[in-house]
Amino acid sequence: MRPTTLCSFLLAGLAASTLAAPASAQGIQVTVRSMTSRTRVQLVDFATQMATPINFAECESATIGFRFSMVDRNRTQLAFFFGSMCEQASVRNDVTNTSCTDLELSYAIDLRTQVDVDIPVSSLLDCTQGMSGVRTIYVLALNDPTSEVGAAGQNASFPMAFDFQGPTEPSGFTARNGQSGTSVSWQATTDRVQRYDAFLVPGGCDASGNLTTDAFDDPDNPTVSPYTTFEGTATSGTISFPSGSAEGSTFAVTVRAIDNAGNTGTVAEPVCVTLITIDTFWSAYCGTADAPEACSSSCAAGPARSGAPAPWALLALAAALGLTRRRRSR
Amino acid sequence: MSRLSSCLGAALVAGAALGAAPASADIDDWTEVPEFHPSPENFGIELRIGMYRPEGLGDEFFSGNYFGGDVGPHLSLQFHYYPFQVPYLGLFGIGASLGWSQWDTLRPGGGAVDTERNVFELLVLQPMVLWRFDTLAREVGIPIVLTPKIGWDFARWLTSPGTPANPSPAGLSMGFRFSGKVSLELDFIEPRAARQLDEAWGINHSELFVEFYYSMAGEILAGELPVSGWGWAAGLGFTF
Repeated sequence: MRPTTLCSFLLAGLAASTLAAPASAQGIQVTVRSMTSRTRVQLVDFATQMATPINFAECESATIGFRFSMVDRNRTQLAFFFGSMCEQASVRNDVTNTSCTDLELSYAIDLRTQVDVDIPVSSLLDCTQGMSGVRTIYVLALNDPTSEVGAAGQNASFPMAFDFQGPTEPSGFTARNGQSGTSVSWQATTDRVQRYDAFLVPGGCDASGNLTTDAFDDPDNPTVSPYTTFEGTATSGTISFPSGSAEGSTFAVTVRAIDNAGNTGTVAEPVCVTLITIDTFWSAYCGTADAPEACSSSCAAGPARSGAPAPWALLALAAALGLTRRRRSR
Repeated sequence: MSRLSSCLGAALVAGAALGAAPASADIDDWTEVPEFHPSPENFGIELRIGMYRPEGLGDEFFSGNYFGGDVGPHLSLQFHYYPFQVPYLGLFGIGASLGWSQWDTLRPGGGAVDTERNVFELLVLQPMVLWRFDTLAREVGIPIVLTPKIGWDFARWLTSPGTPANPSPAGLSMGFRFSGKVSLELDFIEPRAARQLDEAWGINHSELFVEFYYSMAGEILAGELPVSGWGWAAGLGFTF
């Protein structure tokens, strides 16, 4: 073989390997970096991040940070669609595909192999209350906004589960007067409940047990924050009264359900309860005229006084010395 | 020459016979039991369960209205250190105890009134001095050990609910505690196993015991809740 022939062969091989690179590009990988309404911010795969459906509040206000990787360097644009069959080139090849709808989202990827994009959830889903289901989002890599879809593999799809239906109002809600708190119970809702929020409004009722607070005038949007929560599907519990509440204090109490997507439900019909004195040992022991001095000098439960541990420290020291001596004698 | 040889031969035989004698004596000693040297006995530990009656709180405490229906189990753990060992008198040392008792009852509700769980709880720290009189077991062979103890109770008490103004009253009551313990050492059941336990783990004696005590917590210093009373405890103990 002549040297020029050999050189031409090598050059041709090098050129072929260089040109072959785009053809070997893999499909786009989609991962989630963060979601503004959720505390998780680590880079995870989409299925893990989106195991919990997006709720109504998230749809209206949250953004999802996506990372698109393995994009072909020849592609300069990411375009978004939903429906079905969007992975086919039909979208940009002027072939009618009514099942594939343009989301009118487009991002220049600036010839990089990885691009991070924050997308409002409302751009991907229709935030209409009462809806729930799964929408499949397609991402296509294009040469430019008007060109055809490129080679196979330059597209990706991912499902987005959403649940914009809040749980129903807990029915049969009851609460009873008590000293340290009130026992509440209700009937379970039929939704997939994650927890129940409990509300307690001090002074929310008059002495006759009539509701006076306006915190629950809009039962879907109480104007007070939850006082405590009951995790899981519990249908009863105890709400402790705030410390320092005096006998005769009144409270307006209610609960609402939170479903597994985080949608808040309607509050149950509020109930009025009163802090009363229960006949306990302490009230009997200290309720007499000649009550012991300890009744008035006792403090609220808290850390032990500092005098107690001192003997223990001495004993521990003695034990340590004894062990040392015992080892030496053996 | 031959006579000299004969004399030397006789001497060697005699010498060999004399030299072999001690070896035959060792073989005869195989039945001799090696002397047992117990390990030092400096510590003790007790796992205890029993009952305590804080009679200083009055009859109302034990009435059916409140805690009369509750046993009020008492659980405690004691650790002892014996720096002094006096022949024919036993071990003298110091110790510490951590104990817990709780009584609870359900106060009846009804109508729009809640049922409330009413609780009274005691957490007691107690340093002590003690005398482990084990002469009967060591010198006479009767496996009984008597242990008087004098301690000082730091009794942390708390109860709930209290009153609306003080929902969880709590405080500290202090006072002497006098105790008497009777132990049955278990070594006699299987002395060989007891020795092996000592050789392997350093545990000198294991015992079952019962103890009766009186606490003066709250009776000595003014302004403290009188949680004084009688109690008993039984359990398992070890010295090591």
